Amino acid sequence: MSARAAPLLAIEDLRVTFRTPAGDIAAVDGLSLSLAAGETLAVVGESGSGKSVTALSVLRLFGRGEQVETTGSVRFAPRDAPPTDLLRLAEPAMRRLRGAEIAIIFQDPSASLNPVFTVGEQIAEALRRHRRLGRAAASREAAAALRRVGLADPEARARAFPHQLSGGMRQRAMIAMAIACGPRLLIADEPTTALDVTIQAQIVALLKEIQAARGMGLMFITHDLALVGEVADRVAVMYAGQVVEEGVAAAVLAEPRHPYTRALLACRPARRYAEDGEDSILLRPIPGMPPRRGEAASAAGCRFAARCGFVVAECRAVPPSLRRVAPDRQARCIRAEELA
Amino acid sequence: MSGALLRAEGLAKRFPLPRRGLAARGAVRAVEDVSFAIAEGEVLGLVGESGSGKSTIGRLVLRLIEPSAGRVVFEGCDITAATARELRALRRRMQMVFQDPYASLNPRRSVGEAIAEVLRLHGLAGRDRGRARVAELLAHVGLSPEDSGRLPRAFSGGQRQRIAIARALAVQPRLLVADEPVSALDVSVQAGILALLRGLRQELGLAMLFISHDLSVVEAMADRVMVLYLGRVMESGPVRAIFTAPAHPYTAALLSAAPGGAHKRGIPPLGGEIPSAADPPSGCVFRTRCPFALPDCAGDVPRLRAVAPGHDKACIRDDLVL
Repeated sequence: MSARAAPLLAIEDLRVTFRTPAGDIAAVDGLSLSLAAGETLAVVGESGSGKSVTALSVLRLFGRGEQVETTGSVRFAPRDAPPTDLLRLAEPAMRRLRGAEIAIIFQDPSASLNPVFTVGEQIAEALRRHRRLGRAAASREAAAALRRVGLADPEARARAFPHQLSGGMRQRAMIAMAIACGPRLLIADEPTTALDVTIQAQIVALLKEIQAARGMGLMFITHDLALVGEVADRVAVMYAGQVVEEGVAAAVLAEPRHPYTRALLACRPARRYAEDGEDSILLRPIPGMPPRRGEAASAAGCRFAARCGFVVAECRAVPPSLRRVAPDRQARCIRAEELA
Repeated sequence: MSGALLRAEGLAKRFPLPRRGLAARGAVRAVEDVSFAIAEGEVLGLVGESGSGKSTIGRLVLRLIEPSAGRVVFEGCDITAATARELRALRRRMQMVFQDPYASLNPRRSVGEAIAEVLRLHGLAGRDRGRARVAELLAHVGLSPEDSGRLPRAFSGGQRQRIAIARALAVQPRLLVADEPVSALDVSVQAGILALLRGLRQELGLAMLFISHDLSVVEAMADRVMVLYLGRVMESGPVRAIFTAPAHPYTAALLSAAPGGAHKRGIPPLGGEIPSAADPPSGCVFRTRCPFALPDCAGDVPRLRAVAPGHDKACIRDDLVL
């Protein structure tokens, strides 16, 4: 994965600022990421890290009432056109890309499924809009899409309303809708967080299978570092609106170079069994709490300094930059080399 | 077993469904024939996916809901037959901590008042002694006595869970039912709450019924584990046996499905979904998703049988290498 193809998506210096009566909140602060076709990039972080805001800004899905300022660039390579900066695209052109070339699925399928239309109608509607299919062809395609995501009896499922399906089936229906038009990029924002583990394993396998078959780029947003090892080629770890570490997923998990990544890996509970019954239980919380959205932006030095076990005086004085610390690895820490 | 702090015998809970036409009125079988015991100071972990009945069991144990069958005996007293007055005394001995601490705290009351209220309700402290006790309880859960004047919204999720634990401890219970106590928290905060609960157990000899869908959390907390599926016990045993030598296919499948899990088994991933508890499969309820099901599995409901001392499974197959 080190020799990388021309990116499908290249985010450069993205800044997303919410203007609120209480002042500006920098939810994403200078984020750069890229994703190749056929690649899975996991974006990991705790609540308030800016990972979901990043996803929403790629698709420009902020609500009309929200006062949001987005700067930087989000270059996307559509199927038959030169790469374009999504942040500067006119809304009608953006609307043509959404769903057709870039799709998103959420943790809660009810956010994207309309409760008053059947699942089949909703998929058919997208197909008619983006692929200009006729009514009959669209509904045949909708059933085919439901079959592709592993739903038994797809014709009957197509006639069902979202509330008539189980959580796992709704998530499959949402994936069917997202991939129906054959997007080049799928953004999955915590797609399995609300699901049971056995269903989560099914959905992850399904996403990987679809991706492999179509060479689709997948941006997988999650709070669960353990899941990263199972889905991602690359990973970007976010903290307080910034990427703090980025690299090949397996390598980052095996040898984290940023203290936050390291602490996040270590805080999963673990038990070591002992023959005498005195098992050791490893419970290592990260002291303090993750900063709320925008809260850390005013800090003078490193945003993680207050919770970091490796902090030195310099960390509190100068904000560290994201830099190459090893081949194919970036970290935002002045002591990254010592963590090797 | 007779020395147990808590014993549940043949517990069942069926929630009646709304009548549909002339058909017989159906019921959701949330819990069927569940028995277990918890010793003084012991932590029993309940694991299972949604619909497994684990939260219902937690509520039955405290008699927050009435069982359809079976009984719960706590410190020798049959809770299921207790009068309202007896129940109130019993609730001083057993407390509950929920997933969402915010839902159980009144947003307009300071946390000090919330804790003092519990003390007053149980006649445990007057106004003056109450204040000192509140400070002591807050310190016990890692908060500062100065926090007592603040409203719940001033606290983070992890701190609110600490407040909920302080309030539960106010009555000096012997048993704590913890229902997904860290599921709503960021992972970096979870370990702190778990460490607090383990510390309390060590220090106070507090027994726990610890309910979670998260296997690694249960593995860290429990002495013994009970694995539930569709309202029935699939397997139960010492934590080490369940995690390192599972005897039931469902346990093995759960361990394998856990992302990044340290105890993956060579079992194919489960297909399908948990069937409806209103119409559970005959025989073994897991058979419709079990990779090893035989025609016989549709017959009788498999009994829990010992595979080792203290380690039981409800599966008719003894020929499986899981």
